[in-house]
Amino acid sequence: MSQQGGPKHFRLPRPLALGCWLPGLALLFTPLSAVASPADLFGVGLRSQAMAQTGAAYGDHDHQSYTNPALLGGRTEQHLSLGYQSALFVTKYHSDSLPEVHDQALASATTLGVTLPLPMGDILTDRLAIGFSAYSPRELVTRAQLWYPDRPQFPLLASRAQSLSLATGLGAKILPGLSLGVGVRWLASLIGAVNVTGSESGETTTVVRDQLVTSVAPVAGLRAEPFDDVFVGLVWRDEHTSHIDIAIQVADLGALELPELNIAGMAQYDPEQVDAELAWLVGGWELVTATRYRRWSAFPGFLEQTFSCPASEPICGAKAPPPPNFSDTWAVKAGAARALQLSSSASAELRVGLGYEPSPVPEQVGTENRWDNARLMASAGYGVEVDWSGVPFSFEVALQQQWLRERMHVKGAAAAEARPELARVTTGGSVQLVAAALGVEF
Amino acid sequence: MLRPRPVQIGVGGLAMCLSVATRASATPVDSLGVGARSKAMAGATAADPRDYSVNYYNPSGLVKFDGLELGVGYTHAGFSLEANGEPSDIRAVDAWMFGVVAPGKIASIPFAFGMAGQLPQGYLSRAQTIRESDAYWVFYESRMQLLYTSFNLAVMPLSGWSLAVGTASLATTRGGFQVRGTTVAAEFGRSEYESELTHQVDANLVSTRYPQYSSSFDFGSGFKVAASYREQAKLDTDVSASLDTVIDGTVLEIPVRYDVVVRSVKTFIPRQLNLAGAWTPSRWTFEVDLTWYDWSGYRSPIGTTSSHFEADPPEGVTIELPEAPNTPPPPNPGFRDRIVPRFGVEYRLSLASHWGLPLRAGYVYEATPVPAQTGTTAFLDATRHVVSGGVGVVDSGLGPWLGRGLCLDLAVQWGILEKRTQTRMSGDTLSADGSFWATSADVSLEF
Repeated sequence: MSQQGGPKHFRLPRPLALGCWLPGLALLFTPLSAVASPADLFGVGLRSQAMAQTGAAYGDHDHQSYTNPALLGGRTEQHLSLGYQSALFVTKYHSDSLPEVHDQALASATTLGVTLPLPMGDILTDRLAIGFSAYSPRELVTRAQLWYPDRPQFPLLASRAQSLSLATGLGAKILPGLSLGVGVRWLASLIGAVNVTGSESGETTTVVRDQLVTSVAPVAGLRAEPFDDVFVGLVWRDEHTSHIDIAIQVADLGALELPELNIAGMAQYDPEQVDAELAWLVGGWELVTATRYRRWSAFPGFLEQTFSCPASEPICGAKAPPPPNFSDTWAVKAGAARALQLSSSASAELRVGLGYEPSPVPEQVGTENRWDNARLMASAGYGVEVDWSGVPFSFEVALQQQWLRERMHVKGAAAAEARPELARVTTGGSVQLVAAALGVEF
Repeated sequence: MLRPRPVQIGVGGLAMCLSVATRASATPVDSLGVGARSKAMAGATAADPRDYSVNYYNPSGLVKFDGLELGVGYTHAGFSLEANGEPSDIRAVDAWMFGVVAPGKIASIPFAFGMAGQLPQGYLSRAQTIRESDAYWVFYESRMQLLYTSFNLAVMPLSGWSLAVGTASLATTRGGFQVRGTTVAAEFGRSEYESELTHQVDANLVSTRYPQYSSSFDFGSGFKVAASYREQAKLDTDVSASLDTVIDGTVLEIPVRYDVVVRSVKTFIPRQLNLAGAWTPSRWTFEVDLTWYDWSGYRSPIGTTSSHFEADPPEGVTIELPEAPNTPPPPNPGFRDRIVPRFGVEYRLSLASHWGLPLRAGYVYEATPVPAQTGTTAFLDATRHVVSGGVGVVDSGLGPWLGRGLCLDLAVQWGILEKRTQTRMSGDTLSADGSFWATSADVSLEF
């Protein structure tokens, strides 16, 4: 900020001022005690979250390796942002014979985003940049919460928000109005085996192995400016899965042996998806409209069958869980941002958004009680960029409110007889997100 | 007639499978190092770091780089270790390494971000259970099988003096699973595959982050010193399981329930303080590092188990249940703190105007922190000597594409374990010795 005129303020010497800031960053890095990372539920990056999860066509932030790696192309400044977000999931259900049951879950995460332009020369000058985006639940890498199917649950909400999400991307500005980008998203899966073998002396030998393996999914994006101040963004993200798969094998333990148990299921699942977005800059406003297609019909199911029939006995008691029969969804979103010049060294942006997210989960007419609801979303945010004594930093906040549209599930006769209290159940609830981030150009 | 013994053993087998602990471990980078240059210099690079391994050895050095640097590498380590003269089956390690150094300035003050990681090929971690009497190599088995990641920020508030703070993380499993349904006894021509069982899972892959701090000072005239500190970290594995089943013996049915909880330490990183000094006269660099490891805080990897059996046989039928294993907490393993000296040297040979050929060597002496194994445990380890060497090729003439050039580094490490023989209270002897080889290659793009 300008030092001419105006009141004099006490100011720390620059090195000390920076030294005071560093412990603040250290707090974000210090081990904390517990919880979440909801990239697909809330979007990534404060700007995107405040504008109804848009951001594939326009806008600078440090999580573009997830949102659209093409937007990294042409970035010329190194930028780093650290953030924290907290989401509260409130779900409820009731039936004619059951009073309303509430459940709450909190999912919090630290976020780290980095944009690093590659300072190359010649025709590659100011064209290439890499980005890194991390969504790190406190102490969690991923969560596998796969209940028995008849237990009342909302499996696509809180438990999905509890996984470490990493994305790396490379963007290239091909032409003045055309950028392309590629990236990779990372998750972890758990595989393992337990082998129990008996001996004639009655002793049991046990070996347990577990491996945490990486699961990657590619991302590709395009951003074009077909007309002045009109931007188009297209992003494809491949299906992203995290499995848990533990085989328990018991052998030579007498006449009664358990079949080989297969403790397996889908810990995390983001369906293959495509974002299409149009952004228009007009009169100091940015107006955005977007849609996201999710290929939920490819979802294989939450749990696998507990054991398989041996080759010698192809027909046995092993039962495969019924297919989930999820449906593909098209989400629609709209957002707006208004730039404000606060002073010669400070600018701000107000952001709002609205969106609608259909549910892929069919009505639960059988014994399963895996519920999900369509969500109506409203969001808002504010970002300020200040050049404070030569320190170009930014501070952003975002709020998101998602309302779960009430939905009724009416069971078939057999399932209703087994659980009469859940024969006609109505579900609903809400989700709130609060996020803040501090960024600096360096 | 249903025979009780199979029930007893089948459920007991499940008990046994959960009554063991995962092997405790430190990180692979603690054992072998990070980055080909640093490995070639035996890890004695904290005071004068020159590649992405700065993220591990001394993140405060991030601000001393001239520009963005991206590094990627591969390492392979093979082990030839023997216990009581018998070769131990220690799995070779293959891992990818990567790192980023991004220096910049904020208000004319040098500031930098860095990150580095080592990813064992194909997986993030691998663990195998042990029992108290199992002989195993404390630092050479699961220790090598872990993902390591580190993120750091550094600032230079005064000329020559830099500070950094960062975090590293590890992951493990907590949670459990339940199985319910009907288990058919393989009697009267029936098969266990007629069982009807379903399961549910509530498991978390849990990470822990531990902070690291460092500072360095450049006295000028080629003298540099550095101090870095890494906090202790441990990860407890906590697994629970239950089997809630009805044993269907055709002529009678017996409900059985079995619950077990196993807790153990999977990973332990000791608190570490490293003091380093480097002298860089012209083309030479000589460095000495001394690292204190707080191994006395090491917790036994042997787990504790609590379990519970319940059966409700029909009147007149008796069923013998196995004794529920409820193991007491393991005793303190009694590891001792150690100070590990490292020595490294580098000579930067210039071949042409933009070609360089750095030559490197190093040596590290690590006294074992593991006490004599005279009791029931059999933690294997021995004092080791590691000699290393390496070479780099630097091309700084890649013009506008890579402003500062391209660097290829190769390193070889050879570790020798002194033979250690211990007499146990049982009268048996337990000996440990062996050697290992590790090779590494890095490519660094310097923008």
